[in-house]
Amino acid sequence: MKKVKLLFILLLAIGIIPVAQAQQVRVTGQVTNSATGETLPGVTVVVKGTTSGTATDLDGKYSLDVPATATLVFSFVGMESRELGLQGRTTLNVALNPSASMLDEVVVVGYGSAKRLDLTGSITTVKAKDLAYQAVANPAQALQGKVAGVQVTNSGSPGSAPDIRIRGLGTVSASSAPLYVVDGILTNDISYLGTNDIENITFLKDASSSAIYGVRAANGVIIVTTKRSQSREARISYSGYTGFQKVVNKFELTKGRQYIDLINEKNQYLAEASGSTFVPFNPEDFPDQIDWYDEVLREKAMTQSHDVSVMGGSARSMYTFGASWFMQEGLVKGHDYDRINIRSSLESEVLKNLKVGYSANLSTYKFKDVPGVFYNSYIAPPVFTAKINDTTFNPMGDGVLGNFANPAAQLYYHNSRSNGIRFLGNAFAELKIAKNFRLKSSYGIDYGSNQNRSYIPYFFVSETQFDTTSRTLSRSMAHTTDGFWDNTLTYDNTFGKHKITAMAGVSAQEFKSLSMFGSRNYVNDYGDHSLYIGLGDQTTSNASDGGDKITSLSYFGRATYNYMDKYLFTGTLRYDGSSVFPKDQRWDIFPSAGLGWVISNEDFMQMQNIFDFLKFRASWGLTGNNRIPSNIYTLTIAKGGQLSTAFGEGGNVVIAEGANITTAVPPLLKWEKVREVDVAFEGLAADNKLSFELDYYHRLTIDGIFPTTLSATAGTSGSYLQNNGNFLNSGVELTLGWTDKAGDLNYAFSTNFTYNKNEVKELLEGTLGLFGGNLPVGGFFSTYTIVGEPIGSYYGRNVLGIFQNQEQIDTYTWTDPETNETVMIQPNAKPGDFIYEDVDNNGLIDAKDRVFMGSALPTYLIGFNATFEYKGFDLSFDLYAQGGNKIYNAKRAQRLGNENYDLDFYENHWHGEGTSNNYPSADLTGDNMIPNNWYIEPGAFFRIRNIQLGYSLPEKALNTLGIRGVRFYINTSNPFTFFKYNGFSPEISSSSPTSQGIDLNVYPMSATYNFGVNVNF
Amino acid sequence: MKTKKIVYAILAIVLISFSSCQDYLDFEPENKIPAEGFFETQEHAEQSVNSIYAHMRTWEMVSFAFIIMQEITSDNAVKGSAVGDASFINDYDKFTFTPNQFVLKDYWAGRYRGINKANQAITNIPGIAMNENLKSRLIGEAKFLRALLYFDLVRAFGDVPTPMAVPAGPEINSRTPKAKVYEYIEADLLDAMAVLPATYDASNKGRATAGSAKGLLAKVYLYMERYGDAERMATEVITSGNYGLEDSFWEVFRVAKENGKESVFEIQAQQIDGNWDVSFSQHSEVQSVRGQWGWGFNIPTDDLAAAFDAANDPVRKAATILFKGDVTPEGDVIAGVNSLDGLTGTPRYNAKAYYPPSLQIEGPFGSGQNIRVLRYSEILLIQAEARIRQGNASEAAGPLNEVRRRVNLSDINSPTLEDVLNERRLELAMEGDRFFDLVRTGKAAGVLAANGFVAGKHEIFPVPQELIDLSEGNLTQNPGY
Repeated sequence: MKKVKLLFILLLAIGIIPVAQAQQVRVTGQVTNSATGETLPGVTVVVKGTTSGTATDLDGKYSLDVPATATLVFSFVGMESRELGLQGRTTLNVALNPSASMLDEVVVVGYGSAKRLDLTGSITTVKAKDLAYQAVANPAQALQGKVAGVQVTNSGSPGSAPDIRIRGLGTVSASSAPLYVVDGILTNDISYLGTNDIENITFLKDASSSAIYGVRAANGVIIVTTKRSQSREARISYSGYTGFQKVVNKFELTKGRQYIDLINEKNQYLAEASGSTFVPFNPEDFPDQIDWYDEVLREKAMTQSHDVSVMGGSARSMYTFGASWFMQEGLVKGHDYDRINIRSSLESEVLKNLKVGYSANLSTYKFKDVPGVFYNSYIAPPVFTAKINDTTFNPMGDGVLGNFANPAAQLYYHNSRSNGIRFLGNAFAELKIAKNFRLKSSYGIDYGSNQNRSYIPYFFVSETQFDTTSRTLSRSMAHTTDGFWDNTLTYDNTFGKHKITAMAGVSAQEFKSLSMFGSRNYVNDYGDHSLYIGLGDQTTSNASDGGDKITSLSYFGRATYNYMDKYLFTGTLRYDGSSVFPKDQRWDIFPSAGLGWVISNEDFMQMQNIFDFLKFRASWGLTGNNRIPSNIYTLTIAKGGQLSTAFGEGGNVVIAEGANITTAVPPLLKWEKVREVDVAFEGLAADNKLSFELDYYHRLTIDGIFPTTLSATAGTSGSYLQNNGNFLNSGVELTLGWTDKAGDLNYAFSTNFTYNKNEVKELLEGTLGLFGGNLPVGGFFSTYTIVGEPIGSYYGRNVLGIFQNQEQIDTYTWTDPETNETVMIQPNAKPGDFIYEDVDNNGLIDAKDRVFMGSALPTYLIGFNATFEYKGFDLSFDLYAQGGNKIYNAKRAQRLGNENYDLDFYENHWHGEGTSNNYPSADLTGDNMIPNNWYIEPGAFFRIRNIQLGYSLPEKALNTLGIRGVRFYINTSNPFTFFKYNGFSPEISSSSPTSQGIDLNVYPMSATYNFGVNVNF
Repeated sequence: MKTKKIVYAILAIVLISFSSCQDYLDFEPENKIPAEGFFETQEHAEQSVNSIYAHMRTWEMVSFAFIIMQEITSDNAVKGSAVGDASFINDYDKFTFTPNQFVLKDYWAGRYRGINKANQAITNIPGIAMNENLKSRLIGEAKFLRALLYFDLVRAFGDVPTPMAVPAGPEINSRTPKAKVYEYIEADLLDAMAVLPATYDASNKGRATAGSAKGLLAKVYLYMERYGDAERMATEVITSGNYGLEDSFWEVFRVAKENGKESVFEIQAQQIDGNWDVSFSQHSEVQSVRGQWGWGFNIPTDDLAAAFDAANDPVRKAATILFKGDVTPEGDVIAGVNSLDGLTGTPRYNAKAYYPPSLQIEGPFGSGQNIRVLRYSEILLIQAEARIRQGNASEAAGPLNEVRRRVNLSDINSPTLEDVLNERRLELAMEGDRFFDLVRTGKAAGVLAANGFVAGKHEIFPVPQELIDLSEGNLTQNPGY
């Protein structure tokens, strides 16, 4: 400490001593942003070595009396500080450069913002330029590989929200999705936003950062800040792109003869096994071949986006307006998505101490749905043409191979349209009270409205694919309203070396939803104008509705303390109540604390020149997860629907309404909590060129809500939710960056690496492990969640090989050590079947012979990004890899009959002695269908995520035209993905934590290519 | 000062707002009726019993599990449908199923779900203040349905858990001996027949009657080998005067004769235009002509066809087996696919599940077809068999020949047990009786030997493995599995 003081005094002396005798002058000037030319209000201007100074006004102007020889220091968050000697001048206009140092960056935290230096938790920000220009319907899709510890799984389906997991999977039954906060409004979905609307996206990863959002923060928080005006000068900008999507890595299926051979082989084995008779299908009866995907997919699906925004301000106000149009064709013919987005925000200092403002974002969208043709395209026999003539669809053999729908006809006759409105907005008032207090009240609303119209036309394709009676028209409408009222009181002050901020607040939330559905039969189609329920047969009227309500109430506070930019502390406390829990379990406390130590500001570090900045931080916190279905603790009755029956005959048929108690509820239900410890080093080295951040985290989910499987004998629901699991995610995150220049070439690299281990630590006594991953055909469970293994671990039989002949089956025996009796272990097997290991060594293959076969949770994620700028050109690319996870190739075993096979299987399958010891015969039914490790495949993949090449026109040439900048670019997303997995995509979006990675997905992957332009006026 | 006022105003608003938040989190669930307020009115009592009836037509009760375990296992039927389609069904034809096979769990879970609904009604209705006559009738209906469900379970699995009230306790994880299960069934049926009416008004037709309970009890007594009681019960039904045989055997299985004079009990299934839920049942669809109306499972064997021919019985043959090319009295030509799994001869289907497509208005194909559970002709055959079993062959001739005369067969004056059992096969073929009947009469091992039936093992099915796992071993497996 002494050394520091000495140093400080020395610095002061250098500044003060020459000034001592100087004479006072008045200096005036204006401060601007060198990058944008905009004036900067609020810049601190101080005389170096003193505490005397001022701040710039709304126009960036200042005026100050100083000694004539003084040196002025200009500083502003997000800008590099600048020192300038007066040298006799009395007017000093200064342009500040945006800060290259991440330390000065202002980061949004819950209900406030902070300088990056002051942070004690794990917070990562992704900036607009790293997201923009990717042709994605949902900005979250562009986040893959961008942030350490964040796994983004994109499903192939257009417009669909990706699964995002921050620091592993910590819940089984509640939602595992993070909370989004868009300009202060809490929401679950940001698909309404265009990438171009976004200024930056900040991830609050550890519990100490996110605990301020206690009630919904257990899965981490993603804060989205939309673009706001930075200057008073009006700015108009246009950005747009057009491009297309194309299927890549298409997974091939068998066609024509290959398929007939396989099903003949299969049916031959089946017939031999059951002693029944079998006449093989004659390939000559099926001369055609087809790839059904070609019939339902577009070769190129077009997409385009146009966005215009206007920002600016006046003396007391700042405004933003914008409008955008986005359209995307789906890969499936007829699938179209169209969105118009209008946004506006305004902030105004209406009184000296009172600032009011609002932001509003309205988007409308419409799309034409497509039916689930992928699965049908996958299974349909590839031995028919789609049509038998121009107007008639192929009846697919009228059931001779099974009841298969003609996918092309399914698509053609599907008539379903949806549209909707989403509005997110808030209004706030902020009042400065006294000198250091600010009181802010904000009301935000997230409103969504959707409607759908579906019509089943009169059609006849085959005896098993037709509707010649109902002509049902149905219409559904749903709207949701999520309202938040937040009130916060913030205190900010600096006393010498002590910097303090404190905030206290209260927040109330009410979520409501309402849906309605109606239909009538016998609606005749004379065109869209005639598709109204009222025009149908009134005796067939059908109506229903639904609704929900969830409320929560929270009291929270945060205090931060910074001593000399060396020692940092953040503490938060939150008291939350939520209606989803029973009355006696409704309220809970969620505290957190974080400590930071800026080692590089210590005097003993002044001697070294390795680190320009080095910080150690550690945090602890508790967050909660209430995102479970509402009111599951209340036993309710089931009523109507299929519980009703009809009595009477002829003219006396009367519907007898049924109702009963058909479910069961848990005896106790309380908050699921996450307790997280995070320890990290972060810093800068090599002249700020190298940045690094290394985090270790330990996230323990306590009282995890977990379904308890109920015995079918009880005759109630299959399971209910209860607090009975503790799950651990622990891991390491490393982020490295290098920014440098060589001549005119500026370049930057960054890479992030995540390692995560997931484990079920504890289950309540008496709780059975959870079987999950129920396969649609056969109903087998393929995962088991139990202490010591990751959530949703695959669990099945161990395959030792393939039986080559009957002799091998006969000699696969077990001898009872007691009786010396020898029995066949798989007496019902036939050649070509799997040889299963008799794990418990009892001569019998049964449920006790199952082993753990890995899990769908990746253990590592790697992201890499590089950017180069040379004169007007810029080039960037993103790479992503993940691994350690397994995929259950379930689609191979979903066989009820003569479903199609994939080509890899055809080429490798067993078809006689010695043909394969890895792949079974074409008969994947019976015991071969039971989950086993042949279906488990590695899920690792490496992807070229994005490549972009841009060129900016020289500014000089443009300035004469009144244009500030023009940039053209070409971009490709997901052009190449490398993987071994036998499927369409190694990215498997999951329906629930216990059925993750079970691949029933038959949606092909696609790459996007687009060309865009940005113009700033 | 201005600022201060604003501050106070805001603080006041905030405080007032949040102080009224006591009830902010406390409200009844939206769009749901809490169970707490249920079972309080007469309407609730009626609704709870209706829900048991409705349950009877679900997939688990009358579709795959039913045809697979009760008919395809027997010599009457094989899988059918397209070659290779749902080939697991062949495991039941050939007795190669294992405890993991999901059809077993469907069968089990479906029946216990029905039992839970019945137990809710039986436990809770007594406490409701309501019309006492209706109250005892509703409880009687619930007991009848519970008995029917347990009768399925005990025949399929032998010893089974017997929850008889809600909430179910540890008894769900222990198996009640078969004889005791039959006692429970008997007790339920005795209670039911005491309170159920003999008939209902037109708009309640289809509910269980006293005759339904007596008829079922007669059948149960056959299984309990209490032949005197079986005869007595059958006789009570016969002498009640409420029942009789339809003239046309074909017509018995048509919509027009549903809940007619031959119907002792049938599961109600209706097509109501615009109401998919109430019109939902897949009993007929899974058995209807493949490639024409339905899936074409559960097809009659050559052996069954030969049995009709041997008996010189074209009437019942035509009403039981629909061959490709046949034209129904309703005018439908049976077409469909050219080959069916497990069959070399002419494609054929279960005629008793035939539903004329002209009637199809809502729901899965044929969902308006009631499922015949107990017909008057079976009561006659029970009486005949019970009499023979008691050594009274001459008096058995009466009821037996009543059944035979309807289908133009000549009288058998002093019938043997074999005659009656053969009559049962021909009369009740494809109605879900054959496998249990073969086991009951000790014929299964002989008749089904070629199919892989192992005596001492396959008389009952294995307990679904999941139930054993969940009971932590308290539920034991049946021998041989």
